[in-house]
Amino acid sequence: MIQVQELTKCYGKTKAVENLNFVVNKNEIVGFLGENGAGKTTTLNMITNYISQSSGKIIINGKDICCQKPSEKKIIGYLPENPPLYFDMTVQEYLNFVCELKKADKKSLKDIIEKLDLSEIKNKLIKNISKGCKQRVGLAQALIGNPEILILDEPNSGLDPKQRIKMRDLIKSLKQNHTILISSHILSEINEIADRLIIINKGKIVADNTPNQLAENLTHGKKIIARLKGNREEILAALYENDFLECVDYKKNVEDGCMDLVFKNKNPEQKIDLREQIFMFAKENNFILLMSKPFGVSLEEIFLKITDENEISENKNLQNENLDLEEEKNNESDL
Amino acid sequence: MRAIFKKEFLSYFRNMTGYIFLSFFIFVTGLFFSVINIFSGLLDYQYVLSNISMLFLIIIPLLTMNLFSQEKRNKTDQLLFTAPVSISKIALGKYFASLSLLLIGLLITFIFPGILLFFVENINDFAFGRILSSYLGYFLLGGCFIAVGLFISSLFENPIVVSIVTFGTLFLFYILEGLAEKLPKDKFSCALFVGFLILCLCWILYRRIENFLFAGIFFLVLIGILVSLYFFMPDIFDSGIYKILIWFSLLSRFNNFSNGILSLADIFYYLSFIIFCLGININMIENKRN
Repeated sequence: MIQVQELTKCYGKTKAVENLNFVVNKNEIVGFLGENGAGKTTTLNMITNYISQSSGKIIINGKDICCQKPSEKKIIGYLPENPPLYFDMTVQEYLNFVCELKKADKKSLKDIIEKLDLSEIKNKLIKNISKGCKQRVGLAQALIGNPEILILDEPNSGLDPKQRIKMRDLIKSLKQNHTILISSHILSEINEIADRLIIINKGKIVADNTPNQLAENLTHGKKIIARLKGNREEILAALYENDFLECVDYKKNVEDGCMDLVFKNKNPEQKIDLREQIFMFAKENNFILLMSKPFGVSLEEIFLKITDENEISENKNLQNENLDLEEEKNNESDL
Repeated sequence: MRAIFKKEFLSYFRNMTGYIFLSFFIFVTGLFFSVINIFSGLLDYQYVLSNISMLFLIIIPLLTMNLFSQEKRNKTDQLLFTAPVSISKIALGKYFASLSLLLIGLLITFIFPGILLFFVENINDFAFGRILSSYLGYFLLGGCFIAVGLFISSLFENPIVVSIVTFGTLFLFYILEGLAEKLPKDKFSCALFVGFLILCLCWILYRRIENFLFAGIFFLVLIGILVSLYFFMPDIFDSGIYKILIWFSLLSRFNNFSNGILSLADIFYYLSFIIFCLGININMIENKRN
């Protein structure tokens, strides 16, 4: 279990990470998302004790990592953004070295090599293998010693679609015995793997929830998209008189004489089945219902919306501060 | 530490560094042996070791330029510093790997005094003791220079910069004695020099603790002591710069070993120098992670 409390990292006067608070529970996969330069890698580097924090605490299994003995680092396996590989070694030599470095049992190495499909390349020099293979060797070194916690920084980068699926399945299978904090730019991958998402923007956490809950929070409740065949004006007029459905968005001419409408419950306090109401609405007004399905928000949209909202609110705060300053100045000059 | 040592030692032979080092070292030693002992007909092998001490200027930067800088450049330091190994063990593993390569080179050159034994009529004329003490001095001097090189390699990412700075620093050690003699020997200059050292010390202290007030007070106290000493005990500043610089001269102690003078003080000095360099190296790495 990882507990991060009021974590701050400053480089000179710049705050790379500011007052981060989050928890990663045992056997949970948490996705760590953010734009480039948001502070993801800095946070992961601090959790793995590669760099130290300026203030705050990182508690791993109840113990502050500041008081951690070097031998206690065994608990974490880390795959950095650029896998830490020695290009003049063969894959086997490198994994043997990591085994010795981590004082791990060499017997487990065979399983890791098989699990990550490294048997064919184990005698090749690392400088001669592909980027995807390097990534897999990097993950193999993180798995050596069977660490309880895995910190994976962009594990999918450089992998082809086939390898990506394999990596995804592998990470999913690791969940049984490991606690995993994973950062990635490939949001669809994260969505498939992670139980929970933490979104970080400009060094601050802007969202921490399950992907479904984040989508629901953004869309403010459930929505259904339906395709109706009929006259546009008639549909909108009929909708105006409907007591249960509210159209939040529509797209005309998606097909000949059809339009797509996004519906939500007009009165959220009243519990209704939106699908039923849409069907009744079409039936009563003689429209043809061609399709209806839940209106979901993709992770990309969630990510963009959250980070954009955060920036807008920050800009607003800045503007307000500037206005306050101007007002103060004006008041001073009046006096 | 064993894993780091093994990895570093073998990496010298994975790339050509180890082979280049050994062949160059043996070739130059052999060359000096031929000129001094074979062609000149001298039996004193310690002159060879004294003469080839300049070789350190080239071979030490070659041995140490990649030790930490390459780890930083390739980001493999992330593996080392997040592994269950302390930084001191990482630094020691790297240090002993370089030192072992130097030791292997030295052991191979034992063949040259062995050859000399064939030319000796009376075995008692052969100065075994002086040769062994020269070897010990040479090894300890090399150990000090490797510690300096290791420290410099933790400061920069580019191995070429590391090798140039290491060369410059070692060169400074070589000319220190000559430099000390050329510098002014009057009391005021010495006080000024000590004042400059105090300023440097307080600046390092300020950077370390980031407390201007504390570092400032510490500076004023030390300057106060310096001024009082200057007025009340001026004799201690006589030839002061010379005395300070000579104290740091590693080569003057090596001359004692070459002359067959095996002094515990010299051995202790070299070992302290190595420990000091490794200590600030470990401290520097820790600081850089903050």
